[in-house]
Amino acid sequence: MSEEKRAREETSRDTADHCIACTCCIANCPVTEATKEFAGPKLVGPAHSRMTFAEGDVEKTLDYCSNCKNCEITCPSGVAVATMNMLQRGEYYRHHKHSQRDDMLAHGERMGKLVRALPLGATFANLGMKIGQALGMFSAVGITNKRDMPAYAPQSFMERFLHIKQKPSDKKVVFFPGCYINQNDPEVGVAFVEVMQKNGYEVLVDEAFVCCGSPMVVTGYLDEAHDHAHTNVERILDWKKKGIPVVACCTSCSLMLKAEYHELFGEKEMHEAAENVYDAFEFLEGLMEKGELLEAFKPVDGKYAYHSPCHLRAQGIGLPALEILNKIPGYQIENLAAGCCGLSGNYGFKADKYEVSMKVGEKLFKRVEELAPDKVVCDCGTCRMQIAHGTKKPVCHPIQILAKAYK
Amino acid sequence: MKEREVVVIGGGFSGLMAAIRSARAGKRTALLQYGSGAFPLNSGLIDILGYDREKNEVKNPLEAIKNLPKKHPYHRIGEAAVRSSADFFLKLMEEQGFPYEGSVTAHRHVATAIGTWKPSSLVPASMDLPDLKGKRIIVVDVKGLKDFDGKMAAANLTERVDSVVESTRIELEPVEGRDITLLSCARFMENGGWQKAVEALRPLDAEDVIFLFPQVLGIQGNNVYRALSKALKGSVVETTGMPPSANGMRLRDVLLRAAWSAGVEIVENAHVIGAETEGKTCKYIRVQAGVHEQHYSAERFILATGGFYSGGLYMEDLQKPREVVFDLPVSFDKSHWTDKDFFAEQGFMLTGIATDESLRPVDAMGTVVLDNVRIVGRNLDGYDFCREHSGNGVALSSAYKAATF
Repeated sequence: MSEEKRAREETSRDTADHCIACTCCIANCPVTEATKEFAGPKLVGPAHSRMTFAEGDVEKTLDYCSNCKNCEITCPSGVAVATMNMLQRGEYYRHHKHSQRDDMLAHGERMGKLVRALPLGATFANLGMKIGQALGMFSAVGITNKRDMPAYAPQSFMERFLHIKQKPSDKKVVFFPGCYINQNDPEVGVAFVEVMQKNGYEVLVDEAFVCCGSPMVVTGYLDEAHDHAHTNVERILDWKKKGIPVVACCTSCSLMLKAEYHELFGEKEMHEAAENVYDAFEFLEGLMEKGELLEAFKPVDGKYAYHSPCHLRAQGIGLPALEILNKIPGYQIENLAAGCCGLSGNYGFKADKYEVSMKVGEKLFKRVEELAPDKVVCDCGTCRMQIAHGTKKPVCHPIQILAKAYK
Repeated sequence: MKEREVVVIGGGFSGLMAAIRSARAGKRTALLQYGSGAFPLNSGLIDILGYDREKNEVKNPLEAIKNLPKKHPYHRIGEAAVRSSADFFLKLMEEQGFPYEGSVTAHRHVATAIGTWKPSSLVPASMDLPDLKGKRIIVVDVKGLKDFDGKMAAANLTERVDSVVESTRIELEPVEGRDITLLSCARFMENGGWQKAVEALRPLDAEDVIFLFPQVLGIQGNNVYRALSKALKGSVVETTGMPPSANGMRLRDVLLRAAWSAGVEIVENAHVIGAETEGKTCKYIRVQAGVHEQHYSAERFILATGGFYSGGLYMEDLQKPREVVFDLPVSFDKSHWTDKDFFAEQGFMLTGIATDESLRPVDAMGTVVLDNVRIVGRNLDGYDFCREHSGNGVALSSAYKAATF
């Protein structure tokens, strides 16, 4: 690693000195609660990271941190606990070999591209995953066979987008779909386009965008994530010059683009680019505050529950989806407020983390059971997967509710 | 611009109380948090005033307020608000299924983790001691728990009470992986582990026994306390504990739920970095939400960001302490910053924001600086809560008064 690169990573690391050992992070870390194997956020982050960076000493339970960010949300002193953990993990894998499992989990985008290049690729890939699961092929490499791998949609969002006829407008946004919406849940992206069109916006896409890098950061492919950051930041800055904001529906993608890039890599351009990125409902709430949001909603029937993703809570913007959905006349939605779902991106797909992941999610599953909603609404794709897996309830993104209210 | 009626800055005990009362008064209330408040360091006991100037325990806290120095915040808050705030709190806790006992005119005595007494005014049911007459105390030690020494607690208690005091050691959580702490043990008890405690204590159980537990009776509400009390013939009581305080976490959990059900909008990780004022009015506050700045306007802003420890007050060079949101004048005595006597009143603790009787910030001349801002809790000047044991009392009563409309 170059000296320059090392210097950049100092910023988040230096926040270790702000730690006053108040124990807020320990009290609120869902992984610490779920397993006694994890030494805890304070010890692994601000306390031990000094040893990692100074002497290459590795805290062996670092592997348990899921980067859910509850430590950072609850820290009153601005210590970048989870970020420090991800920097340590990145440093570790600069000197150690990755497993095949981590390679697969970090590079869903690469796999998705292969699948889309083949005729009927999605169908065969889904079938292949089912067979693979049944034959124990995933567990052989350390991926749990207790949950389904996310299935590929018949057509990716980018493929579907080509066929969406939009009313052109001077008001434009660029949509950053992210891997999950693009490959697995394109309906969310389609609903986003519908909602923006109703509000007089034309939605653009950018073929040059790559995976935000979140799955790489958590599996310790830090330098590769850094390359992805450069690619995306260059594109975002280009859109910024044209005065067109970049909007994401996935809260882990938006957190990555808005905050984690510059927190992890400390480059000025990343901060500048971040200013041009919005979470979808943050953007819509901004319109609402200016009186520019179309509020002619039709009633939406049913009983709904809302789960706030940790990576949204970390953004400091409150729960804008709830603020807007509550404007739909008679709409029934209750905030579950039951903490982390436990999946944390690819964390809960690892065979050795599956139990921890399900234990973390227990409170949320129980709360869903108590409220017995028809559907659970959540901005994050992986949270939705975990909720569906843990409760068997149907799930959707809040933008899909809004699109319905506009019909 | 986000338009709210009340914006509370800070999610500690005083911030949450102010937000709950504002929302219950029908105000559209937002609570902005940066961090989760100092609850893991908060005993969750409501001390109104433990000790007087001579370090003697006071008999009647409400009466004793009269003898406090003129600058003390209780004089601005007023006796009536102290009394009503306690009633408000007791009623709220009862409603939430986490009842407290006590009054502002007398002390109850709670057992500490080292087996001494601590005076307090409002005490959660699990820490409230029954009459000791004719009772034996059995201190319950837990194998592997490093935050509590049952033998030491029993020895110290023996010096303080007429009753027989013994200790016993039981096995709860398996000793593996990380150290056993009050927090992990409390969670173990909550997830069914309390039954293991009942089995272990059954041979010692009798009507005349008080089982004195370390603070491990769960971290949500008081289900563990109720279950143990039902299963055992003896009384069940908890001591105070080490950080992270299980009872502080219970209090936070209960208050968060009360805030949600009252309709408080809670914004996490919202770093308030400044305010826009016009004359004596705050127009809006500026929130650093990641890279974007968001603005919140309100009819009333309640400042509950805490003192130096919580980042509400800040000082770099021992010359000029700063209040970080409104840049309010900070009252402090440069000549009395610290005292050599560790247990004496410390100047840095007295440092804070001076206010008028409505808790609006004032300058050195006593002139109100901002009309629509109220100061609560540790942001207030003129009291050393560590020395006199008044932290949650000032937090509660000032929050109550600031959220009176």
